[in-house]
Amino acid sequence: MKYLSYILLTLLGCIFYSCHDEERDFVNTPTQRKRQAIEALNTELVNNKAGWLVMYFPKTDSLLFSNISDKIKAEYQYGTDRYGYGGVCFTMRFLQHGKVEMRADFDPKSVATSIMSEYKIGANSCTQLTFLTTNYLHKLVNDSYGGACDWLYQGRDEDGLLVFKTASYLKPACEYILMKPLHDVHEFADAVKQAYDNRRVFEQMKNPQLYIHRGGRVYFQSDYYLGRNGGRVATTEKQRYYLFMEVTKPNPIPDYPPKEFSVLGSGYCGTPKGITFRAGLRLNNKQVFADFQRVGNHFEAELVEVYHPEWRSIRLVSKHLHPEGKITGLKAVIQDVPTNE
Amino acid sequence: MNIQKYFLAYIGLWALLATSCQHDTLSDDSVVDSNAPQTQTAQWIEQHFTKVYGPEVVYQWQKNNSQKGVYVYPPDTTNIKQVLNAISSLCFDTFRDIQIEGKGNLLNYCLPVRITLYGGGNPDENGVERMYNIASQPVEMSIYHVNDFDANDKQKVHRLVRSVYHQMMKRVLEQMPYDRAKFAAISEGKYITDTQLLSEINGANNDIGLVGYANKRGFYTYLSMLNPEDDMAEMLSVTLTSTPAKLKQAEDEAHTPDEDSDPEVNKRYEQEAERAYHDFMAKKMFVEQYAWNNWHVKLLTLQLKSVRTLNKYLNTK
Repeated sequence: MKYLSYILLTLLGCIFYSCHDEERDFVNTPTQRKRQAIEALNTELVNNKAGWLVMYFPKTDSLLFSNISDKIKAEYQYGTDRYGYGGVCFTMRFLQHGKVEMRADFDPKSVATSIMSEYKIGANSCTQLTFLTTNYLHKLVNDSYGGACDWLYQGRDEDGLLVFKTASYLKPACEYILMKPLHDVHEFADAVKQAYDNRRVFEQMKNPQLYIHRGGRVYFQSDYYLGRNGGRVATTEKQRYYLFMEVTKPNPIPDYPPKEFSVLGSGYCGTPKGITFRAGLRLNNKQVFADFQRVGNHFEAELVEVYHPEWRSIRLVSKHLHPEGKITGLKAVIQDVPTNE
Repeated sequence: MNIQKYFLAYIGLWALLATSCQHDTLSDDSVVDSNAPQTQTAQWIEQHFTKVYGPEVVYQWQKNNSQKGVYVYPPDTTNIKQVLNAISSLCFDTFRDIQIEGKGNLLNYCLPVRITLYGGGNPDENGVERMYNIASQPVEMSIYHVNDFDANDKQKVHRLVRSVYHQMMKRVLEQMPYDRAKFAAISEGKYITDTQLLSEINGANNDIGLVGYANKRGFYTYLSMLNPEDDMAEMLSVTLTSTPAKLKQAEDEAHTPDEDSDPEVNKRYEQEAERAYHDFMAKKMFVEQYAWNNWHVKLLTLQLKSVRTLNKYLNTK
């Protein structure tokens, strides 16, 4: 009886003390917060009437042809079947009632013609932008590029651009999706055209070579002429991937391929100002040349140091994107070097 | 002692009652998506398709509907009406007025619950174009190549109708089962299971018609060779979209051995052709018998009706 009373009293204690109001970490419920995030992203996308410049690199590999101290000796090691993939530049204008207008830099037709499709902002593991019906983006949804039409919103980068990812990769640096707001209505058509033109200038170079230097000190100078014949040019343009090769050990036998190379390669895409490489032409982990500015018929990227006060980090970016940055003197130039052919 | 026990139990019960029935107000925020306004396309689909035939149509991208590792994408809205009209007039209407005694309309046994539309094709991991979503069940139908469908293009219409019939037949075979073991025994040992072999045959990755290579092995099409389920659905689907003369040609093809200068090899070819012809005819009889026993209609009657509808559709475009 005594024990029964104790048990009963304990139970009563539990009952009366268990149902208290709990302190809330958030004012709103998870559903409300999810809904707010969806509405916030939708409002941001729709409110920018000029539209957005979108760079989408669906399949990048920051380890591929990214170490200049790795020496390449055999021809199969720089064959086109080892090439990676580049990206595509889009302009998108998000309208009311879930419609999105889009142009892309695939060809002159996609540059000049807008197509309308449907989109939806919903919730997945993060806030998700989904392209519901066919548009230019779906040209990348295939076995080679491996594109996806569900984009998970990740927030903003240091420059305030919207960053997305897809559920295709768990590892970082396997894809890049960046959205930059346009400021003028005309830019919707102009930006994608400029991106297309700049990319074509690069692709039509007969012998593009990369020269990375700081003043008189040269870090990398590609000099091997890959040739315009065969499938290499077609693969380069189809996959938007370029390999710069520097001969480090020539072959003593005339007309035989060199015995050793040092190479740098990356996927590329045209931008309104020039051309951009992702995962970048990587001199090392920190010195990565990504954004090049077109100057006449060649492309330049000068790295400057930029401090981000909020993130308390220093990063190296191209000078034309951050003219206020601290000069490092490290510069990369891509130019069409005349050949004997 | 006993009174105390009851007294304590009584207090305990009261305590539970007093604390359990509290009034909780429900949250105004539902976890279910708020009702988004229907698009014009969705309205048209609901009015002209779903309300008439029943299946829900999904044309907007839903990642969970697609199979892993296969790159499919949603359709453009411009062709959707054309495709759904073709499906309804060419396939659904053919079955609509066939009544099975005591069981109702035959179409009801063929209809999926949901139809998902895709803009492009559906190549599997071996690059072989598949007519249905191999990861889903017959209760769901998948329609591919919506973006490039053209009602005036004979081949594109044929591809669509073949795909729809294939999936309708899978659905009806699920609801009116056939003797699978008996059917599978006819071509036993000849099913290839995987599409790897098809990817190595020139042109086989995208060929859905009656083809000599398959006929000579006792099958109608390349895709029939995969497994008994596909074979059975293909036999019915091909019959409904081919004229009797075409099927006779395929039958002759099955019976004709390949030729070789070596008499030993020739003899083996003759044996293979004999087996192929036997399998071909046995399966043909099996499906005819199945249709008669379960649908109470001659397969030839349905075949002629379907082919005439198809020809009429193509001639009026």
